[in-house]
Amino acid sequence: MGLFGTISAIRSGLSAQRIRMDVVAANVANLETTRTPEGGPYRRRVVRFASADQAPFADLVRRFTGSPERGVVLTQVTEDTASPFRRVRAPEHPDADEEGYVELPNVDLVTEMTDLVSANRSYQANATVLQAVKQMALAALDIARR
Amino acid sequence: MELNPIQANHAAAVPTSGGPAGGAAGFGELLTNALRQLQSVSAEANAKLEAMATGEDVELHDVMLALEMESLAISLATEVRNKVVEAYREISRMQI
Repeated sequence: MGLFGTISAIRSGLSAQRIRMDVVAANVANLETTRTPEGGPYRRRVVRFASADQAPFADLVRRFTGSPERGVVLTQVTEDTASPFRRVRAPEHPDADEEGYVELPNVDLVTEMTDLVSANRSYQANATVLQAVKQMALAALDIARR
Repeated sequence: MELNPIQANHAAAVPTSGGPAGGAAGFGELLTNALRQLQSVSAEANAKLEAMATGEDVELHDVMLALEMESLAISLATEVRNKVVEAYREISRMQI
């Protein structure tokens, strides 16, 4: 893996964290969304990542380019079906059922904020690695200078 | 933001026929290829920058990484050029 290979791995990490941030943003934006095209309230989205050499087609990429792909890839953005919707009593809500309860998205603000901070820090970590790699490259270039 | 393509000076790099030209021609080719690669890195950075400026959906870090790679590639090319010119001067100063 040459210098540009390292940078491309870092790029994949940065992109992955950006996608995480996108998903957190979507979850927070839909905190109170009770109507979706699929019907029912919004379901919290979660991301799944895989290391690039485990990704679909990684074998093909390796066969044709000769070098294994490094870094991380987004495999899917799925809906969180494990946690239940929040049920709140609000008879005046247009989407309330006969008993006056409204189902709200299963988005937990605390979890989302934790994810937000984690994505942010991971992004910074990738950027820090990039800085180190850049310094190494500049140090290598300095060898030629006098 | 248009960089003129860099073209290797073929007249200087490719030696005249007759001499032990194998190694020298290889070096000229090497230089040309390296410059062509540098140009493609540069063109990629340019494309990313343009996409960003015209409001396309492009990640900020992508643009920055492309610019950084371009800057590193140019530094490397400059360093190599300095070394080559230095070697050439060394030889041209040689007393025969």
